[in-house]
Amino acid sequence: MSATTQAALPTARSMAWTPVAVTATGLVAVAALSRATDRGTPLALSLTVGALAALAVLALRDPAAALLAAVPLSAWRRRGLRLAWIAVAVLPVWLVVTALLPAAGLGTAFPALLALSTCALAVAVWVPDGKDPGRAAALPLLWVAAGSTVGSFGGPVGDVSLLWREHPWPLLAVAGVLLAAGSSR
Amino acid sequence: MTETAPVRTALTVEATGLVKRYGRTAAVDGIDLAVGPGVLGLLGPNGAGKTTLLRMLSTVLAPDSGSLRLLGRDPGVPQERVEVRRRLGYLPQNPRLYPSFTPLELVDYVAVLKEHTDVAWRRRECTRVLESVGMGDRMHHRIRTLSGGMQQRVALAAALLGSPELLLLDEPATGLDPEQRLELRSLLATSAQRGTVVLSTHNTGEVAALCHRVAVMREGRVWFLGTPAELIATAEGRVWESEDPDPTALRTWMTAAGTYRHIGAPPAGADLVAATLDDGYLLVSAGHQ
Repeated sequence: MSATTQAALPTARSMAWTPVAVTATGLVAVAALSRATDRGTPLALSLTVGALAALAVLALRDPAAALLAAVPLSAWRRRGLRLAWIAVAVLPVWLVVTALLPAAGLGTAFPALLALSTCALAVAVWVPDGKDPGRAAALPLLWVAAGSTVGSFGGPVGDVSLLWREHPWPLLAVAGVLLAAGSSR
Repeated sequence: MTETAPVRTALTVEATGLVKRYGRTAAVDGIDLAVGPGVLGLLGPNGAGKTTLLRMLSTVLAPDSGSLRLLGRDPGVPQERVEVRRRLGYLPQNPRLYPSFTPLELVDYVAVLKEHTDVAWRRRECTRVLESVGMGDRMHHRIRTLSGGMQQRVALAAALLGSPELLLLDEPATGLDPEQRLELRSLLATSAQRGTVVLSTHNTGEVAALCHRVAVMREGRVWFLGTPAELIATAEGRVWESEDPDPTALRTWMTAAGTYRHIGAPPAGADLVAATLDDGYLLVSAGHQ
């Protein structure tokens, strides 16, 4: 068995799961409320996209990162393991939330989730040495909030604030390149 | 784990013109260093660049300029960096651990990340290193229940995994009581017989007891590199004591006996006393040799 495979379970144990559980519960509750009241669907969906993208970045937070900084198994593989685990954890949340919400808007939501997550991860890997990469978790939340508040204003600011929802694939491509370029950091 | 024949070289660390900047501040400013087997102590005030230098030597941080070879390899080349990492142990300053892990689980996890995939070997090695740092009887306790000194020893055990040829320790004695410090010295002396140990410390006593060579750093540069005896020699004839403070001295402090000890250029008729490593360090770190 390879070192990466053997590292999978202890990596899962090293991750902070309480924020994931709390966020998942909150998102499902909001989706259920939205369904029950038949209101706020776009907001619930945007909130879910932003929060799950933020969780992806928070998964990279490793309290023992300094101790593990000089191990031969690359930081990229260790991040990959963490992202795989968080993907496994948030997938059921995504399925439950999208099942609860009406179909309108769901078609673009998954690409938006991918685009926002990749953008935030790209920022996280390019955070300067000594700074907490977890701060990049604020990016998807702020972007979603901006889209919900100034998105309807139009103009360049409005367009940028909705980029993640309106043009997720080009955004995903650009963020993917930045993420790949920062993979050795 | 892919085994590669190690490149044998007398020098474990070869650094030339090493520079690392944070914005406009040069944390390491043109360091030349050649280190062979034995223990090298890095002394210097806070902010002298010791930690930045150790992070570069541990391949965690890439230098902005200058050349660096570790264990005969270039850590700037990804494949060679991995090979260097397989042969080094690194203890960062104030390392944080996973509170829900036991020491055995944590060290085993580090061993996996060091690409030791043989489970039986790992079990033996993890037990060995934990016992060597005096944590054998607590290896199954949760880390959250351990004191700061014990957690430091667990992190040290992780650095010792696989008997690395290059061991880099950033203030390893932090949180250790005097008895544990003695055990640490003995442990590092053993490690130095197998390879090179570079340790950063504020404790000149540790340097005197353990280090074959000492480097005094200040403002990102190495101001002195030599043996502890040579560092003491820099202060010979430049240390004196008196009943009163001496404003002409470079540094003055009151001793336990109530007299004043001074370093610098002694005035005529000064009561010269034998210099210590502390005196040599203070003299060099003040910019005078």
